[in-house]
Amino acid sequence: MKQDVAAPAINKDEIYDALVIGAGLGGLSAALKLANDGAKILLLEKHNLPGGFATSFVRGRFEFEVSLHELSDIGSPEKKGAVRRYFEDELKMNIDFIPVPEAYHLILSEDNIDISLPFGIDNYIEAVAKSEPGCRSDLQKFLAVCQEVSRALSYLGSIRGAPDLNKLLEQYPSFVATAGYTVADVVGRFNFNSRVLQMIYPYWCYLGVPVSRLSFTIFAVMLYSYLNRGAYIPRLNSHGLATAMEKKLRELGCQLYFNTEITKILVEGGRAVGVETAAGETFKAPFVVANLSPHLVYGKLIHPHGAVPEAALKNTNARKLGTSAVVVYLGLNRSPDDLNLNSYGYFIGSAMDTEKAYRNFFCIEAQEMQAVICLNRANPSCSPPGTTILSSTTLVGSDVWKNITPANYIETKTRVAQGMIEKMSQYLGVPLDKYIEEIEIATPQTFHRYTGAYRGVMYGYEQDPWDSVVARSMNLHHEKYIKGLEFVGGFASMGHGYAPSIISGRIAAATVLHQLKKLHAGNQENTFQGGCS
Amino acid sequence: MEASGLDKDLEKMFALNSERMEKMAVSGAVIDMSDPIRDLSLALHPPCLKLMISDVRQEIKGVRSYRLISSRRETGLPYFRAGQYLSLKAQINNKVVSRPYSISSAPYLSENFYELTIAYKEGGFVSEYIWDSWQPGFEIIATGPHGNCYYDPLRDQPDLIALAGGSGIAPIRSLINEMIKTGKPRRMICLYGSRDEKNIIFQAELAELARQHPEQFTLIHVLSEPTASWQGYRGFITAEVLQKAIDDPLNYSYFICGPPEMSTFCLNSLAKLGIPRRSIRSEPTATADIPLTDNDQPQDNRNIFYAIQYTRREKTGMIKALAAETILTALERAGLNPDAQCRSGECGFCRALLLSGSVLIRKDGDGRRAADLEYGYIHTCSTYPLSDLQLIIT
Repeated sequence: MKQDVAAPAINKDEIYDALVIGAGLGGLSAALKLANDGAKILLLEKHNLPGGFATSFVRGRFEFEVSLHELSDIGSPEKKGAVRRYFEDELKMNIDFIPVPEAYHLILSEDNIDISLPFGIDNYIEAVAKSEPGCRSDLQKFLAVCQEVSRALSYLGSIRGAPDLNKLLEQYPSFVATAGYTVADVVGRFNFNSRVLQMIYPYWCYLGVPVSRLSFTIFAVMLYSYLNRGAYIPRLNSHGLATAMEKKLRELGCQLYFNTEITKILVEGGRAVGVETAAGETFKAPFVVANLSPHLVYGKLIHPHGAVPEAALKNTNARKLGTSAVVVYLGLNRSPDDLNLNSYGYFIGSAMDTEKAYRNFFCIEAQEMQAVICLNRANPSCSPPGTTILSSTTLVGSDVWKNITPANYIETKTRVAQGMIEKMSQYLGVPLDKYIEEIEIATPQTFHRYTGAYRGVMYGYEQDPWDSVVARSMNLHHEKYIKGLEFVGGFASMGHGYAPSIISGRIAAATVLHQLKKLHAGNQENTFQGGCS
Repeated sequence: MEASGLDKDLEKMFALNSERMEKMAVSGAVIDMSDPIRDLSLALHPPCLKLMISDVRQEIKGVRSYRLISSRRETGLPYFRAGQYLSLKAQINNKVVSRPYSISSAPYLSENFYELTIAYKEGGFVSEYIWDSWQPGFEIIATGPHGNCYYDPLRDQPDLIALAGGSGIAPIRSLINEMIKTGKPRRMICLYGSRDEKNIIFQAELAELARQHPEQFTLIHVLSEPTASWQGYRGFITAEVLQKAIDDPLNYSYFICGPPEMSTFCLNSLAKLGIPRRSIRSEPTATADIPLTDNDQPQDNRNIFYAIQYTRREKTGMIKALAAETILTALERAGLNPDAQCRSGECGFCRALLLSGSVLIRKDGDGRRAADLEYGYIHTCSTYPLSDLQLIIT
C-alpha cells in the first residue's frame, strides 16, 4: 500500500485523535468504534440532539418516529446480522430491537394486487408463487443470485485493498455477472411476468432510483438482507437508538458538543488538520470524520477552498443527489384493529411503475407511491391503548420545493398532505380524516431545518451502476482527495439507510484506527493505546 | 439465469470505472452551493430574530400590546400560524432569561410586524422588566415563532370554539383576524372569560369584528366578578354555559387559551360534554405561571436550596437551585444561558442528562420522548430539584 499517511508530527496541542462532525448514525457509529478502541474523540453536532434523521418528536400523547421504516442487518439474537453483531459483540451495547411482522403489504389498484408478503426466503417465494403460479423456479434462482451478490459484497467489505478477481469469479460468479447492470437488466434474464415484478420491486422505494437505472447490486443486497434476516425497529424508536449510542459514547469518555455548528474543515498540505466552529473556536486533530455530504464538504466547508482538488469538485458534480421526502405523521384515536390496519408496512399506489413514480418525484402533487407504516403493528405499546401511529412517506426531488415561498409554504404542505391522506384512506379502506388527533407534516424544508442536509436531501447519491456501491468501492482509494478526511453516513460509499450508515461509521473508524496506529508508531509516541482490527 | 457471457459481464463491471471517469470528466469544477431549500428554511425559521419595538399600546390596566418590527428594515418577519409564540431572550442583570409569549397579531400581517400582548404580574421577574424597559426603539432578541397549538384544517373541524381567559385572548385574537382575512377556519364562537367589564382586553376591536362579520365570528363574554348591571354570562365557562351558548357541541374543535386553573376547568367542562380529545387543543402554559402546590411538594420543602453540579463540554461548575423553581430557572440565574423555547415541558430544547439526584417532573409538563425517560434525560423547564443534582447540559 502506498504511503497514505503524510505523517504529520504529533502536535502537543492536539487533545483529540479524531474529530467527528455530525451526530447522525454514521458519526455516532464512527465515534463509538474509535472511542471503543481507545482513541480520543470529539463529536460535534449542530442540533441539540443526536441522531440526525434518526429521531422522533412528541405531539400530545404520541411520539412519532421521524424516518425509520425498518432496519436491515439486525437479525434475531440467534442469527445476528452485521449491525447487531457490531452493537452487541463489538461495542457491548444492549439495544432492544423488535421484529417487524412482515416484509410488506403491497396494494396496487390498477393490477388488483393486494398481498402481504412474509419474511424468510422460502416463505416469500411460497407467498408470491401462490399468487403467481409458475414463477417459483425463477424466483428461487433470482433470490439465489441476490444471496450470492450479498455474500460477495460482504467479502469485498471485509478486505482491505483490491479484491482477488479469481476468488470473485470462482466463488461469486453471480456478483460478477450482475455488478455492471441495472435491476431491469438483471430481472430481464428471468421469466417474470409483470405481476411478479411488481411484487419484487417495492424495496426500490428505499433506494429512490427507477429500476432502469438502479444498480442491481444494492437492490439485491437489500432485498436479500430483509428477506433473509427480517427487519427490526428499536423499541424506543430511532431516537432511542441514537440516545443509546450517545450514552455509550459518554461512558467511553468521548466528548460530545451539541449546538455546535462546524463552518470550516481546516486543510493544510492536502491533509485535514482540524475544524472551526460557527462561534470561531478551532479544534485540531490528525483525522476528521464527516457525517456530511461531499457537496457541503468540498463545496463549502474545506478551508481554504483552494485546497479542494479539481477532481473532487468534478467527482461531486458528476454524482446525482438523491431524493428528499414528504412525510405525514398521524396520531389516530382508534386502535389498529378498529381501523382494520393489519400490517406494519404498506406500499400503496396505482401500479409499481418505478419510472412513472420517479418522474412524479418532480411534481409537487399526486405522488403515485406511498410507503405507509403502522408502528403499532411492530410495537403495540408505541402509543396509548385505543390509538394508532400511522405515517406515510412519499419521495420527492427537493428541487420541486424550491419555488415554494414562505407565504405559501403552509398551504402547499397542507394540500400535499391532504392528497396523501385521501389516497391512503382509499387504499387502506378507512376514512382516516375522521380519526386524526395529531398531525404533523415534514417536507424537504423540515429535513433541512433539523439536519442541515444540503437541499434537504434524505437519500445519499443515486446508485446508478457507475455510482453504485461496487463502483464506489473500486475507486475508494484514488477518490480520496483529502488525506485524513473520511466520509460516513448516507453519502458514504455504502449508500444511505440506517444499517449502511451505521456500517459506514464502523468502516471509516477502522480506516482511521489503522492510520492512527501507523501515525503513532511513526512518531514513536506511545500515547495511543488502541488496537485495531 | 441466462448468462450473457462472463467475459462480457466482467467487461461491463470494469466499464463502470470508465463510465465513472467520463461522467467526472464532463462535469464542472464549481459546485453550485445555492440551496433554495435552505433559503426557504431560513426564511421560515431564522435561528434568531432581532426585533425592535415600534409601538406600545395600553389595552387595559396592567395589559399592554407591543408592536415588534424587524431591526433590519429590509427583511420582513417570518410567517407563522395563529396560536404560535415567540421565545423572548431578555437580558436582565447580564443574564439571559427566556419567556414564551403568544403572538396576538394575525399571521397575514407578519411581513410588517408582530404584536405581543402581555399582562403585568406583580413581582414577575420578566414582566416587570418589560414594563420598565420596553419603549419604542428598544431592541430585543427572540427565537421562533414556535408552537403547535394552531388550527389545522386536516385535523380540526371547520368551525371552532375558542375558550379564552384573560390575556389568553392574545393568540385567539390572532386567529380571529386571520380567519376574517382568509376565511379559514370557517367560523368561530369565542367564549371569553374575564374578571369584570374593566378587564376585557381587545373589547372594542372584538365587538366591532363580531358586528361586521356575524356569520363568521360570535363573541360571548363570561365574567367572574361582573358589576350588578351585567346582562351576560356570570361565573366561569362551565358545561352549562357551553350547552346554552352552542347548539351542537360535538360539531366543533375547541381551542383553550388561558391561565392554568381556567384551562383545567374548561377541560373538565368539555369532558362533561363528551368532546373527544382530538377536538381539543390547549395552549401549553409556561411553568413560571404555575406555582407548585402542596400536591407537588409540601410548602416547607419549597424554600430549600440544593446544589447542582453541572457539566457543559469539559467545564464543570456548581450552582444553587431553589426547590420551588425549575432547574432551567436556576441555570438562567447562574448566567449559563441555556437553550429553551416553550418552558412548558413540551419542545425539549432544554433537554439535559441527569446523572444523579432526584427530581420532581410536572405531570402536565412531561413531554419527553420514551428513550429520554428510560435513559434519564429531563426537560429542565418542567423539572424541579428534590435533592442535590449532577447534570450534563448542552
